[in-house]
Amino acid sequence: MKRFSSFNELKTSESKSLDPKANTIALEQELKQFMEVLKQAKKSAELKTYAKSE
Amino acid sequence: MNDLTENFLVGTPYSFQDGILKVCTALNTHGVNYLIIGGTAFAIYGRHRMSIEASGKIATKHDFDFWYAPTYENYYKLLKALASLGIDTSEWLEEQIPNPRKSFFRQEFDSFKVDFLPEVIGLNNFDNSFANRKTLLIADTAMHFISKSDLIKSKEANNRAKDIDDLNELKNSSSDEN
Repeated sequence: MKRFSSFNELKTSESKSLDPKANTIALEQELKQFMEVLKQAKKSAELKTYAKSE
Repeated sequence: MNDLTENFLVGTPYSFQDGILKVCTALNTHGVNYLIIGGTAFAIYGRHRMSIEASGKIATKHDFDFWYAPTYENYYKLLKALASLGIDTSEWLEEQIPNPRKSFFRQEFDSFKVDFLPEVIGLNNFDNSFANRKTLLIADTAMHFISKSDLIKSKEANNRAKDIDDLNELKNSSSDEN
C-alpha cells in the first residue's frame, strides 16, 4: 500500500498496469455485472422503503 | 498474509464483487466509518462507466474510491481493517505523529485498485454525509455509499469534464432520492 499527502498526488501517481495477459474484455464484463448487482440492490431497497411507507 | 492479498498476488484474483465485499466486510468488522464515492457511487445513481485517469484516458484498472472519516480513531481502525486483509500497514500503525487529513492511501490488486481518501472536494463534513448515506446489502455485507445529493455537490465542486458529464446524467436520472 502507498500513502500520498494530497488528492492530486494520489490521482496523478503512476499505477501498476493491468497484467498484459489479463482478459480485459472479461474484466470489463465482470465489472459491469457487479455494477448492475449494486444498482439492482438499490432499486430493491427503494421498493422496500416504498412498501413500508404505503 | 491472509487470503485476499495472497490470491491477488498469485494471479488468481477474486471477482470484483468478492474482492470489494471482503474489503467492506473488514471495514465494517473494524467499525470504520466510510463512504463509497467516485465511479462506483455514480454507477448506482447514474450508470456504469469505466474509470477515467487524471490525464483523461480510460483507466486500465477500475478504482474503487472510499472516503474515510479523518479522525485519529477512525484512521487507526482503517489501518487495522486493512491489516486484517493481509495488507502491510505496520509503517503507519507505528508512526508517532500521523496526520489523517493528509493520508491518502492506495492499495493495488491485480485487476483493480482501492483508494482511501480523508477528504472529498466540495464536501466539508464527513459526519453530515455519513448521516445521509445510502446503505446497500450485498450478500449480507453492508456497503455504505455517499448520497446522490452529496455526490452531486462533489461533482459540482470538482467541475472536471467527466464531472460535468456525470452531473448532467445524475440530474436527469429517474432516481429522486437524496
